[in-house]
Amino acid sequence: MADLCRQFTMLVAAAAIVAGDVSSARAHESPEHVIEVLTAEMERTGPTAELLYRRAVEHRAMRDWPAAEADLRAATQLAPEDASIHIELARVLAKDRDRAFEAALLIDGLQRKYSAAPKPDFYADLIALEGELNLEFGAWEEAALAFDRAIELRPEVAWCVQRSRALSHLPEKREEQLRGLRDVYTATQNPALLRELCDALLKADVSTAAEHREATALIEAELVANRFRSAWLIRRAKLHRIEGRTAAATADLREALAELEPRIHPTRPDVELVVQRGAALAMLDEVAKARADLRRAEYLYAPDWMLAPLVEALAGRAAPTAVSPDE
Amino acid sequence: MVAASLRRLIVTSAVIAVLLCSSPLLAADKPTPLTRGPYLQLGTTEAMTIVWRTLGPTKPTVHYGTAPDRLDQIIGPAEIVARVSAEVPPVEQLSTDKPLPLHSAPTGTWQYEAKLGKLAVDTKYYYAVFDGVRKLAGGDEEHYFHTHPKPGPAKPFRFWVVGDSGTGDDTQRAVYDAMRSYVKIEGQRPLDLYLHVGDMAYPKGTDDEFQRKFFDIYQPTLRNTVCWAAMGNHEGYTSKGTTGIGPYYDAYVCPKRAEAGGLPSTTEAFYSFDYANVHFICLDSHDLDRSPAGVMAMWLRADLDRTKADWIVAFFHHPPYTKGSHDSDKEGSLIEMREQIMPILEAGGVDLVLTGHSHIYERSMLIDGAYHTPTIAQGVVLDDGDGSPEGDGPYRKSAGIHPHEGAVQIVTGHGGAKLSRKGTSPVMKVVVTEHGSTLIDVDGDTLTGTMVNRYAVRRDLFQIVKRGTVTPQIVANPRQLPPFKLPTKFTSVDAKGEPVLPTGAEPLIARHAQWEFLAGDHPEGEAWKLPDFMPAKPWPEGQAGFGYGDDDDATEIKTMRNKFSVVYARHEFELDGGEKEQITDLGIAINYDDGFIAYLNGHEVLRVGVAEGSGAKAKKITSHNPKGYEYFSMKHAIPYLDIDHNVLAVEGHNNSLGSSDFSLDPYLVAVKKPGGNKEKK
Ligand SMILES: [Fe+2]
Repeated sequence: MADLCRQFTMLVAAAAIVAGDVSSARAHESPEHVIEVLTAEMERTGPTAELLYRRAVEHRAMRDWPAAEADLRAATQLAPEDASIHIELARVLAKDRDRAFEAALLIDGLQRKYSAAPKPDFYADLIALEGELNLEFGAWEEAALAFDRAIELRPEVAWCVQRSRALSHLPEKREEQLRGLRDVYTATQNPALLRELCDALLKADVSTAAEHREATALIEAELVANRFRSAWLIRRAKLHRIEGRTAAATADLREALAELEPRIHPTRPDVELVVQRGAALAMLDEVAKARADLRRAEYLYAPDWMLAPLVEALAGRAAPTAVSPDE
Repeated sequence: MVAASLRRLIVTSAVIAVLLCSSPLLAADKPTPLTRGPYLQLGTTEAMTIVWRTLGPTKPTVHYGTAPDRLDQIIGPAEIVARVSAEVPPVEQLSTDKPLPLHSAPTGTWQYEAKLGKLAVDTKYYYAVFDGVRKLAGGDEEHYFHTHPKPGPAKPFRFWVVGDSGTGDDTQRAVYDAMRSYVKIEGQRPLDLYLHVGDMAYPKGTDDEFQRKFFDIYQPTLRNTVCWAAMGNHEGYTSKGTTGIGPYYDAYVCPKRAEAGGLPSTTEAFYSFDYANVHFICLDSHDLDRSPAGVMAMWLRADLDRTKADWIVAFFHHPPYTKGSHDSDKEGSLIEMREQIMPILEAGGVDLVLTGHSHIYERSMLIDGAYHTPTIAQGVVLDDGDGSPEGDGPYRKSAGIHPHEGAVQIVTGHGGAKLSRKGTSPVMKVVVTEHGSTLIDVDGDTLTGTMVNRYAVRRDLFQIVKRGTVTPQIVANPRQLPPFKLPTKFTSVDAKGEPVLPTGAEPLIARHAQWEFLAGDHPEGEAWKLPDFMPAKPWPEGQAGFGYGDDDDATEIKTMRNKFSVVYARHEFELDGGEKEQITDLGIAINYDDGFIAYLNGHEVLRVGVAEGSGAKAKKITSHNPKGYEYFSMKHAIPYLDIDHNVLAVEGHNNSLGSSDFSLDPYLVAVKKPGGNKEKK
């Protein structure tokens, strides 16, 4: 994999012409209105790929996936060479887990088609889309490889994070995962990478003492700098536990819970905060409440990697039979 | 041989020509090469970036100092970032190493980005940009900047917020001019910052559209005030948040490495910055992942966890709550910003959310936790008052930043594009379908929001005060605005040509009342639709109706046929104290031929037979043969009634100059609650 620091330094210098967008300027009308206008226009002039594509974009804005798909399919019939239509179709299909295989086939075909140099600007997105599908289906090695290739074309924080998540499932790639995170974090200081790096450094049974020291320094700096500190208190508690300081861990967890409580909205909270609370509760052996938070977070569509700290904290803690979940 | 030496000669002359061009000796003969700017970007406590463009390369230099006649500091080409259009005449390439490319600037465009560093905090500087020794702009009272005050301590300041402005037309200019004249009114203060919530260059955000519809219009402000921008969907046609490439990203220099405070986002698409005791957060609601697991959300959480400001202001394009030209209950990006991003912002203690996209002004009550789709008012309103220091009093929150103590949402997408309204979002307190923009003042523990319309008239005022400890409480049955209905097409007229009025209807403006009218000319601007209109030349008065050719006109306009097709009429009327609250229905009864548009206190409330435009620019007027008075319900217009002083203005249109007749004969009726028992508020 190419040197990520260099890639990021060059990010500013990256030069590419954005692929032309065929959608029109009508969007300052509302989507329903534009759909009406486009439909009327097509009734008059007959469908064209451009009109269908434009209507699909509006259907997508209205989250009407089947209608978007239908328009895009029809558009591909009329303009089989237009890559933007195919990519849009792949994106729409990928929204639905059951259609992911179709999306994968489509992406594969597009990659083949546009693999000759010079690669178009959207090529990196095609590869990242492949990575995302692989990640979704647990094909860790393939996912990591895809993100490597995408990052080489265009370094993006999201892809670095996703690459790390793929690698985290491959024990033999741990060093590679950490190195990648350290490099990009050093270059960018981006908080999404810091969080990823700390969690990777704090892997129970795997982390070394040196990694703990590295994590400690990062965590302490955040605890000093931040106003809301629960995320970092929980990480420090985890470190305390690993190193056998039970009382210190409990104190951190209690402080984290006190801070979290007023931040968690009763009906529709930010899922990240729910995961944090669940993890803190699980570490304090309040298993029933922690499980309730796990269910709540799942209900809010938290992806597996987001749930991981909570799932990990619950692992090995048997559900008490007598207590009913607090919901 | 000859050919080769000739070619060398041509190249040499070209080089000399380039050198001569930047020489001061010839400067006086040459038009300025300046094509954009200079304007400010990325202000911090100790730095400011000055950006400008020239046609053809120059020797970029900035002189700056603390007085316009003492620009004693200089930075030159070695320290200034140069960027150049994708296509460059070959000769120009000789003068520099490969500069960074611009996305789609006109051929031969050079853009210079000069970062002036090591400046004193909270200090006013003046500047001028030069080509070598030739001054291109500045060195006067208009070219200045202020470095940011230290983050943390309070310092009174004002920022301007505008959205969906990029039409390049008179409306955009009117909104801008209105703001500028408003801030010059006694007791007002000038702008310290400028936020644009997106859609700044219709229709596709091209380089050329940016020039004509953003830079050319706002230049008097841009040269001394940093514009902090959020990307709109129209910029999205040519610029991409994922790559950070396009005319939008060429126009703006936004923080990627937390240069102005906050945490590094590694992208210009979203970022944060500090100004005095306020933390500003800009998000890309258009083309990046809005999910709670996306990198934007991850960055946002960390950024909110970090800030120690007294106030948090977030701005982005797609509004979480709107029923203007867009519907936040139905459209994906709006739903996602509400369901997925608002919980993060409110758990982080956001105070104010500024958006656009929907072409209207909508301002909420103090709300929290309104994440449900569709949006409902129950369980989310912490204060159902108007927040006005002149009305129900300011919204109250605890001092400092606390989660879920309520935020005010403002949709300010009325900066230029065509207005429209679908309904009333249940969380809104003030909805104004007028062009305008928003001013926000922050003074210590008090934040004041003002909406100024295109006539420089204040149309909304609210405050948030953060003092002591306030325990937020949900208002059980919040007062809401009346439901909005689109003007009904339903009309009713009986066989005798009398309108079928609702039971109990009484006139607010009597049939055949005296109206002021204007025939044979167009009124200047829009002031004629407002109360207390004072034209330079007084309008004549006449009894309604107005027209010719069908023997039904009390005031005959004999000169109209073949000469003009529009007649304007206005009638002021008063309501008694408490009368407005009793009105349950409102409508217009009108004998018209062929079309008309009615305005109540400046709001367009009814349009019949005029498909496009208004006044001199009205188009597509449908022919209509009157059968007498027809009644049109205008229940939706009741909120626009003023408690005392009102005006109904009507413009009547003939569908052709040569038409054989014309009629405009309106009157206004209302239904009031029976018994006149005044309800206590
Ligand atoms: Fe928009």
